[in-house]
Amino acid sequence: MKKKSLKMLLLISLIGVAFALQAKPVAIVIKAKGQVTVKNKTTGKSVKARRGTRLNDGDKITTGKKGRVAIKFIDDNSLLRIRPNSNCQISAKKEKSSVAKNIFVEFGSIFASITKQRSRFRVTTPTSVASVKGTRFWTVQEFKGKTMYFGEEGVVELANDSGVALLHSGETGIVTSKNSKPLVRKTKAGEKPGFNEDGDAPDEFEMEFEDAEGNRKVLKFKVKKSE
Amino acid sequence: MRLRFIKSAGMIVLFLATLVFAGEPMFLHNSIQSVVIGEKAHIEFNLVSFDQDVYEARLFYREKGEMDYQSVVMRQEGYNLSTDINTQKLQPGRVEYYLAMQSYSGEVYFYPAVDPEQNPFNFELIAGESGGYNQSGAEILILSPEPADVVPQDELLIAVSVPDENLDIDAARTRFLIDGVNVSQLLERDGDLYMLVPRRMRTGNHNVEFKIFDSSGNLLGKKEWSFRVSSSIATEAAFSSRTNIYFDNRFQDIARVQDNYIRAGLNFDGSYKDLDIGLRLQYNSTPGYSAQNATRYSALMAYNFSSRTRLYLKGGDFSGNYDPLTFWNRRVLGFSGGLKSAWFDLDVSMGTTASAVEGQATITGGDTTITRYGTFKETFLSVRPVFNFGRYVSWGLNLINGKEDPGSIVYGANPRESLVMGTSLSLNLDNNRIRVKSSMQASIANKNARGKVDFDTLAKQYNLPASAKSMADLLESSGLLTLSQGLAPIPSLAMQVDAYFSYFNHLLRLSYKSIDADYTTPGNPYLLKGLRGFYASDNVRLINNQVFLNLYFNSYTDNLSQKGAETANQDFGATLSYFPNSNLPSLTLSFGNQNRSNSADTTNSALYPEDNSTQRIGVSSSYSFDTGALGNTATLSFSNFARDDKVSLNNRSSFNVISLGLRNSYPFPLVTRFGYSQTKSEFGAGSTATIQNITRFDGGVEYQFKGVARGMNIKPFANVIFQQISGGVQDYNRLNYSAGIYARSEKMGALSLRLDYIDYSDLAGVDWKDTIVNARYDLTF
Repeated sequence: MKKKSLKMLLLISLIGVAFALQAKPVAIVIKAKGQVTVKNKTTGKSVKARRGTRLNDGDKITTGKKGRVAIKFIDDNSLLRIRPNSNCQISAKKEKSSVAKNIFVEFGSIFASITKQRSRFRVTTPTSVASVKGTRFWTVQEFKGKTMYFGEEGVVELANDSGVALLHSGETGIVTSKNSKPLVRKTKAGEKPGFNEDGDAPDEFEMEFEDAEGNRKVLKFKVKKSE
Repeated sequence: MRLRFIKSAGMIVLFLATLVFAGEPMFLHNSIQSVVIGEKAHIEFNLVSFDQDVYEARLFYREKGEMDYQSVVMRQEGYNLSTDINTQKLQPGRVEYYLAMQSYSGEVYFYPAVDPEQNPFNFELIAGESGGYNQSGAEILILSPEPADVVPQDELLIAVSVPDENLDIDAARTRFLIDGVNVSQLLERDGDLYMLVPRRMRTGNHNVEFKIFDSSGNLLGKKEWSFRVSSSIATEAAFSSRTNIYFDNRFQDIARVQDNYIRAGLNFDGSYKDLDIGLRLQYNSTPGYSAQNATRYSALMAYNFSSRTRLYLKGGDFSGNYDPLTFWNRRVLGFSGGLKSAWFDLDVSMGTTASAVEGQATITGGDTTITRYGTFKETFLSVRPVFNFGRYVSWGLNLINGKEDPGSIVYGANPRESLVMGTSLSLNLDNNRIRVKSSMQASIANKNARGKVDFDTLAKQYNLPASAKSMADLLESSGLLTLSQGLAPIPSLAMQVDAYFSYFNHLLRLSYKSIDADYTTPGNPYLLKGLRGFYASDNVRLINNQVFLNLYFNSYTDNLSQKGAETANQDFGATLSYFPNSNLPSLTLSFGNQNRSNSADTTNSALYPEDNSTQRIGVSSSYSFDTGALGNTATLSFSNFARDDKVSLNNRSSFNVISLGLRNSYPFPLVTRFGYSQTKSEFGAGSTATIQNITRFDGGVEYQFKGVARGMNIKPFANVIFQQISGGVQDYNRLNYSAGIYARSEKMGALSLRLDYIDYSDLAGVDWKDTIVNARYDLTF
């Protein structure tokens, strides 16, 4: 009996060693519309993003002309909205009890709503790095061009090799290249991206009523959005 | 008396109970030294000798200073009883515990056997770096939809995450309810993520409830929220189910006696539209002396008229949870039905709590001598209506009746009966900031239901007024009690009132409890009686939840069953804990003082005189630090216990315990543990004093292969404990090796194997070497 148990124990240990460790998801797609693809870093395979698609460290997300996607990070509930014609890569490294995140935006527009971080959260573009701690802001990266940041809440530190600047709510940060210092000024009317055309919030909902005879009527509400 | 001190200190490594009563259980128990908050406190008892079947074993535990013990069901693997206390919701300081065990014949045994509530085992709970868990349980993040969100039908995704990977989450126990309907079996898990993509949901508001449990069934965390679906598509009717099967095998060779135990079972939960069904089956291979049915089975059927209205019917084995003074954790084999609604609840349960087992007797020349008393069949009835007034007030009535059937066996002792009637009231005010719970009960017991008598005989014996006749007639005609010589018609009373006030970072609890020594409820076998007093405690959070202060004062009288030896207790103390929430050591300081005294006549050998005071001082700390990629947690704990006794010098005692621990987490999923402790115990004083020393070394290693294949984790482990006991009745060493493997796959189930080898060097003149092998397979689909 004892010998059998020991043999079984040894066998299971060996089986365990033989298998490779499998990556755990770091984020999840909570909403996807239009053409959105996720390219896995390890396998190189691309799949269409859907509600519930899990994202791993190193996954690359690309949105088409009418594509947009919202993702949430599993460890801290931070939200990332990626607008049409964008390309970005998610990196997430385990650090003690939390996950250090970096979103590399090659081009396109993203909105980040970051919960209070236990570790680093960065948005990196070809021109600069934005380090954040509990805030909401936009990042717009032109294809091979300048980067614009729009602060909505909290403080963002914009940095590259040429300097550092702090971005506050209602301000716009501009970094024209990695060799130019980040500049911050007040946001001009109409220059900040919004959610209006994205359909990120429901634009209508319904209430159903039933009378004593069982007749049903539906009342539809249309929600007027304002940014 | 000395034995009682040994037990209360909880530092004895090995204790073979030497109770003189035949049939009393004997236990082997290793007290644990100290535990850092957040880690599991693993507590294990081994039944060395017991000639009955264990129906249920519970571990009762409480923070020092609390009035009530909480309880958790212990796992039974053969004669091994074990459980893990979830320490995440406890405050630092001393944790007291004792074992209570119910046999299939309904007998209850405690360990420590005498006054377990007063002489519990205990261990030190050390503050970790963060006190966050104490407030809200495990962190659960709602990923989608946000609370109160309005979600279009085609964007439905329900997802949560549990980021703390150190939690021991038992996937099979995870509960996920939508509008009160259990849809756990549809939940998809991937690492820390739990998600569900419903195809369609009814338009309107929906409520989601998500609960996670550890492998011992302790609730680790809970999240509940609501959202709204914005387009109208009818709900699809669907059948859903979850089935769990398990198989346990334990082989043991203890004290050169070999045994093999098998346990297997099935749990099924399903729902069709608003109908819930459940089925439980458990086979146990150990029918024993009591010959009670050791196989458990039960079925449930419930219909949910709405999220707050539910009609149910249970059959088979079940237990109740009215309140501890009435019906609480008692096994009943029978039926239970009832209704739960926003305004009115009703529960009616009936069945048997024990089956008839004939005793044994010798008949010599017409004289019958009973050599072993049998067990009477005991019938049970409980009725409880509750009136709910909104969310704020609940008022209930209850009736509990237990009757042993004198005709069920020939060779038995005295058949007993009891009846409990009373009321309960719950108040919930100011958004849960003020909560009051009260229960007031009266019981009438009949200690010998044989031989009916008329009312006049009883009235003469107890000086009852003539007006009591109508009540006696009513009780007898209802069949609840028999008018016999053993009936004590004067009711015994029990009451408990708890008030909680949660304001300004304080959680103040004021309680009053009074339970007469003769109070008898057939519905709670574990109720400890014969005490009366007032209890107060206050938990204060300070400096951004980094400092916790617990103060308690209890003034009560126990031993009420012995007139002339009723013992007064004053118990007060404080615990101050510092959770730095940063890279600094945590610190816990605790102090406690208890005085016990009575005016027992010292010349009366039946009474036990007491006049003593006990002081406890404890200091403990834990520190987590990194050395390169290595994560380390070091713990240090010191406690002193000193009892001064004015009745006898021999009753004086003192204990000093120091323990050190180190836990290392490597960059790969390897965890190692080392521990050392030294206990010095002194009993008595002067030339008659005896000193015992216990030195203990322990070490352990655990590796976790995560994500082996799809969703499979494999965790091999090995531990060794060496103990050297000297200066007591006998010097000896104890060496315990244990090793095993735990493999869990979401699809293929969980398999655990464990081997224990215990070597006692020359204990009681015998070179004991014990071996225990456990195997368990568990599958949920």
